[in-house]
Amino acid sequence: MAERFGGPYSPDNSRREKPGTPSRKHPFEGRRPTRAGGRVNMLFFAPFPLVLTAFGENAAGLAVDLAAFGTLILAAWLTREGELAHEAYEARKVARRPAIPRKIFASVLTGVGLFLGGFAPGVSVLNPVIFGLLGAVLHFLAFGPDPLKDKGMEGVDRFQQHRVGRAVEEGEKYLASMREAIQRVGDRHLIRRVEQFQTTARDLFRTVEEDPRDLTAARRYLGVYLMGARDATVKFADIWTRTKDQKARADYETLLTDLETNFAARTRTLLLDDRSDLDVEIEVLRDRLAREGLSINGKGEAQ
Amino acid sequence: MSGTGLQKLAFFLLLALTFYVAATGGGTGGG
Repeated sequence: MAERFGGPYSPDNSRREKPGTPSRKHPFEGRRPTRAGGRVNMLFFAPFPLVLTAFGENAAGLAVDLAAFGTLILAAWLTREGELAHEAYEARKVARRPAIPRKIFASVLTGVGLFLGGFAPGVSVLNPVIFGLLGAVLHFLAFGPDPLKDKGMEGVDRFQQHRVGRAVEEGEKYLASMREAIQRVGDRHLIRRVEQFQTTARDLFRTVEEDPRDLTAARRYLGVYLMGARDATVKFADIWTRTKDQKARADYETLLTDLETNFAARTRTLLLDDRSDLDVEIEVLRDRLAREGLSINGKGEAQ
Repeated sequence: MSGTGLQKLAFFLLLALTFYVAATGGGTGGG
């Protein structure tokens, strides 16, 4: 769908950011280019000659070639999914290892696919075996293993962690459907506003992930408020596509600003809590050191 | 995919190998 161009300096005053709105992060902040694009997709194209040559053969050759093709495409797909999972793992501070080691399976499947591709009935299997081994090793070198360990889970209550994970997942779902709804509107400015809100919301997600004790305080934000935001977005998209009601648009933007301010404030309070935890830790440690009979003078030298 | 030189090299070799096997059957009359 066509989108109307409009940035902060476009001559449409109504869309200019009003002074006094909370300062926003760039929507791309903390993002990285996805590893699952570009070259990984080329893996889908490489096996295509198999389909073309398969039909010039007898029935057995045809079956083997098509099986090889299917295996290689499956391997490519698993590779892409594995890269996506790996990326999600790296983006989070606390993450569980993927349940299925997709990239390792993909390495094995690549080997099997290449074995089948080079296999011909009645001919020595030495060559296909070499192809298969080579393919599996190269795939493993190119994409590496999946993350096999949980990250940041030391000393964390698994049950709490699980609850946080579920809450964040739920929140992400709401954000995704919000984005889908606002895409229908096709208005760059609004899409950007929603993206900004998502960045703010994800800040809160990361803060909660870091300290699962914060979940109780943030629960409503991850659930009810985000659900409300999603419902409002869907309704707004319906109304706007039908009537282009300027008032609805203004109201919706105000809602987004309010939400953003609230989410940011909540994140700040949670971080303050963490800060006071740190202060307590420092104080306790200093007290204990002082009790050891060591006092620290102003220059930091022990006496 | 961003990676080290070795990863890139391995990736392109893998692509070439796949293409070669797919196109020629690995020279065994398969493919």
